[in-house]
Amino acid sequence: MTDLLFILRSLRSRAFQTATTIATVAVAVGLMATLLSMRDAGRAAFRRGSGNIDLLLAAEPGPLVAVLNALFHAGAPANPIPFARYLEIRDGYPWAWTVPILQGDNYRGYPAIATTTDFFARYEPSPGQPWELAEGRLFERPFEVVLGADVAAATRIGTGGRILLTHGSGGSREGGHDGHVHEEYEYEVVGVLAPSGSAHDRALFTDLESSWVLHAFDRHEREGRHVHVGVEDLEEVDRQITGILLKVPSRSGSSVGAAIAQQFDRMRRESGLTVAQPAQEVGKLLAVVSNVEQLLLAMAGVVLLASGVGIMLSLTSSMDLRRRQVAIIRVLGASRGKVLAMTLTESALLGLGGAVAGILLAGVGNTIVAASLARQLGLVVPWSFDPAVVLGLVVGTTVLAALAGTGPAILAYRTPVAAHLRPIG
Amino acid sequence: MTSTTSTTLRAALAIRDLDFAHPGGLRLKVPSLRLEARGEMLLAGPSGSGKSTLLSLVAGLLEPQGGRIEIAGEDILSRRGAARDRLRGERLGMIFQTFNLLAGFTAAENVMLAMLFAERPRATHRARSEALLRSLGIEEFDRPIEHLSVGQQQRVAVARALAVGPSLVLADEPTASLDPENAEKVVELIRGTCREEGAALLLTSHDPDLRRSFERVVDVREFAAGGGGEDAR
Repeated sequence: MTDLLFILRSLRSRAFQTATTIATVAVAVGLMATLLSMRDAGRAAFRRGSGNIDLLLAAEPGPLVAVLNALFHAGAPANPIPFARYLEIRDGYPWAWTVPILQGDNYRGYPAIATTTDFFARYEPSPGQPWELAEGRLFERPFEVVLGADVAAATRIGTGGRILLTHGSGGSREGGHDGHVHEEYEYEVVGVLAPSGSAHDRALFTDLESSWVLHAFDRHEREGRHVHVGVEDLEEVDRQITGILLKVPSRSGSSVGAAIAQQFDRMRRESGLTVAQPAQEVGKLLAVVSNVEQLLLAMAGVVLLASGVGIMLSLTSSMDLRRRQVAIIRVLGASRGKVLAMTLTESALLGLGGAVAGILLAGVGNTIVAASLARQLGLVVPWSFDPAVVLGLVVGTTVLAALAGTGPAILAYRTPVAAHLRPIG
Repeated sequence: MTSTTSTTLRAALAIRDLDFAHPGGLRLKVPSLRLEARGEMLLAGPSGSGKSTLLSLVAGLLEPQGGRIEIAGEDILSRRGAARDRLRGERLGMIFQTFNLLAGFTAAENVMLAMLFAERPRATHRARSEALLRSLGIEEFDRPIEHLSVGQQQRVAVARALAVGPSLVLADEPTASLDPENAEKVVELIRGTCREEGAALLLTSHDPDLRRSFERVVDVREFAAGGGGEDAR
């Protein structure tokens, strides 16, 4: 028999009370853990997406919308930029690199990005982590398409598969079917990308010219001409894009930040387009979100405090039963100090048990939610639990529970022994 | 403890000049009371005459106004806090009318608790508790105490009181809820076990029939002072 075994047996002898107390703590800790994990996962997802771009140019009404549409596929940009305008901007300054992108088509709701292979060679969604192919190769000719990792996983289409793109934003994922399928133009899947952990994993990638051909075909249809359109038939009006990714060159002896700011101002004055610094926009967004997060965390904190009060009430309400137990072990030689320490240990154990159960609860819950998000929305929220956060939660809850047990422990400490040993019958 | 004589050291219990005034009105004055090592004494008197109070004083659970209570030569009143608890745990065993066993614990665990709080080496707990229980006719070591019969619980309570090898066992009305035949059996069980374990026994009872079987009988009313006597509560 040990002190700890004695405490565990005492808890077991009040099994219902022990279970409900642990459940209360578990729910609070689980809520807290979920909020913290969601915050981390959300932040990581946004940080990854903005990548190594210094500036984003788009014709969207605001910089945040431009960033969300171009880099996170929140929606398809509605406003085109002539390709000629892109060439002027590209040639007007010694950029480190520039990448044009055209959004608007989709495959079963997965957004397609028409771009150049520089998108893979230059742009890194997570800085320092270049794109990698899981299979096949990048597109080289018109009507070749490369799938993001999640698209390939969700549609089970691999290299050699043939798909049709739908023109128009949204598509089935948003419930509307306003776009139409270009059955005349079939794309061949030539490669599948390895997961990048960014929103681009649920996108498809193709070249600019084939997208322009689809648009040219639509234009002819609208004009009443039902003809096959090839790359050679493209006119200037068909050559449009929706965004430009820009990287400012870093030169030794000068600040990149200053160069970015300078080009940001120049582009705002001269390009007539919306200019966004993705990192800054994401930062602003996270600042807005963090207010909500803080509110949620404060709520979870209140729940956790309430569960601490629960522990206190649970220990206090069982005090009548407990006084007899305390009196008995005092007769057997336990000192007041030992009774105090044991009662504190008992409440700390309730906190520890609740915290561990809560973390497990959050783990199971988050796994189910993440699986459901991945299945229904193709959205990958990686299960991210910072070990330090987990440890902090467990230790914090245990300490809080021990504090909650202080009052009952003092009551137990003060229990007059003789008065609680009198024959009851 | 400088003045203790060799005869005092041999006594399981030696009370001198004890004076206790209960806030409820009861007053006990014990000029002198001695129980030799391995001795037996019946503390008689009707309900409410102060028997339990005297036992609580001996156990160091109540604080008298004055006097000296030595248990195996050590004055429990001169010890404070944890030191007094430790002396109680190591030298005294207590048996109650209601047993005061802990529900949720097995028979063996209830006995081992006494050894836990008396800080006996952990390795000895199991063997000692099983040996004692077996000698008292209990083989259901690992059955929760609430699943044992009343008679079995009584035996577990006796085993617990003797688990640490105490100098003195205090039995508080152990026969109060029993019929005369069973009362005698229980008393014999307690006496026999105390003899085997070498412990002195101080047993309280309001049952006049028990007086015949004890050589030494002290009526607690002898110690009643102030408001004392039969009508004291």
